[in-house]
Amino acid sequence: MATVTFKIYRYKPGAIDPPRYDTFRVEVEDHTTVLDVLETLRLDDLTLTYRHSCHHGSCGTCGMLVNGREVLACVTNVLALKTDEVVVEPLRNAPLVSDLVVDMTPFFEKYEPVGMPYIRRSEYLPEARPPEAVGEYMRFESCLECGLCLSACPVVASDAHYLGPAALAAAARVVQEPRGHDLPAIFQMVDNDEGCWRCHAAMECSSVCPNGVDPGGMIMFLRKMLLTQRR
Amino acid sequence: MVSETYRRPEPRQPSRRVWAWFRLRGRGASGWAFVLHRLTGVVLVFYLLLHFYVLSNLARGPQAYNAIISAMKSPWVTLLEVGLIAAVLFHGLNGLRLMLMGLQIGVEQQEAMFWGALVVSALFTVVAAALML
Amino acid sequence: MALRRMWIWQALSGFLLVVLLAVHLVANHFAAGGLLTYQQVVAYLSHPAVLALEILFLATVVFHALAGVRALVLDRGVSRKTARGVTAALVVVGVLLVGYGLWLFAVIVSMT
Repeated sequence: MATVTFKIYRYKPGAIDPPRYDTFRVEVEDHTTVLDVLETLRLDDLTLTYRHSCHHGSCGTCGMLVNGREVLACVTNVLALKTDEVVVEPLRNAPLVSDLVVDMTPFFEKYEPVGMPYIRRSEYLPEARPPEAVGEYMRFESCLECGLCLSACPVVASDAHYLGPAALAAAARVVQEPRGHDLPAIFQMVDNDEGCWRCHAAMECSSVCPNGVDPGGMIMFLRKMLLTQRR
Repeated sequence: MVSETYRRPEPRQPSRRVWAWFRLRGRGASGWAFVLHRLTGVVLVFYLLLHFYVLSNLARGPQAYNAIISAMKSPWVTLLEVGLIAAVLFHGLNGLRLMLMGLQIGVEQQEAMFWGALVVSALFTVVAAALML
Repeated sequence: MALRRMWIWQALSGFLLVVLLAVHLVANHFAAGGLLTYQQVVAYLSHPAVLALEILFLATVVFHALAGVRALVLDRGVSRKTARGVTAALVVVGVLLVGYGLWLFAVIVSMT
């Protein structure tokens, strides 16, 4: 048991406007996560809004800034932060809806046109026979679509037109495993004024990615492809 | 009963400003590399213009050139020159790092390459400062 | 496509600058005694190889600097129209700077 101060960003159009920080003293245990704290606080103040779903780092909905860094609140242990004061803020570079909730529409506007299938047929163990009910073994793409990378990227921060790390990483995945995709269209999407050349390798996308997608590395993969391959 | 049509408030759009490039809270080594590369780049552009101005005195003959050169011999200018050397070295070495990364060389080691660029430019700056001061 | 080419040119000019700048600095400050007097500058540029290197350096550094400025403007997030205008303006600035530099070289060389 320890007591930690939580400073939480609050904003509601028309109600809490301009934004402010609410401060709470919170008792936390060894296993308490930032999301646990938010859920406890919400019992006393039902107007506190945040997004969450799975509680185990696989849905990518609870992305937020904790002490200035993009994390999934559900897998961020409070005591592991090793600070007496924990500052919780909404993700950057996205329209702010309320408190810790941002509008993910701009993320999906860039991400979906790439058309990366997020479930693929597994290429491993083709001889393995899955149970009848399962049909065939599937493998998930790593991207959780949480948007942490867009929040951390300094180019996205100043230019809304830039395709951004998530969409570029998805495009790179499609290039790596085309499986019937229209590659010229993908290359056209990434090889232009809004595409992979706009990255300045701050690599913050890769360092905040909660699932090892390494968008920065994927952008460098796209560059290498575009620089060296005859198409 | 009074009924009102609920209008969902428009989400607050993020402000897109260049100062966001230099927001370093929560950022790691490579984020610093980006900021330093950008800052040193801007410094070097201004130095280039200054260099053009100083050398423009060559067109005004020996007296003008020799006068501006002797005006530059103050310790403050030398200090600025040391800073300039540091900026040139970092921008050049980090630029090589960026070029290698674009060819997918050493992307995994990019953080080590940044520290390398920083240490090497610091060392050479110290050597240059020792020679100049 | 166009931006890919810009990236390649920026990388190549940057790489060239690492080499040329080393030559420029070593030649200026060690071989030519720092170019601290007008006479030193005239003597320095009277070597054709030095003059050729300095002209290459002039063009490369101006290109690299202005391409860098253009990248900053693009990152600021501007409309395509503004971007085209800025690019055109930077091309004019570049031509003027290189032209001025060449004129300055010509003035110095004519002194020998």
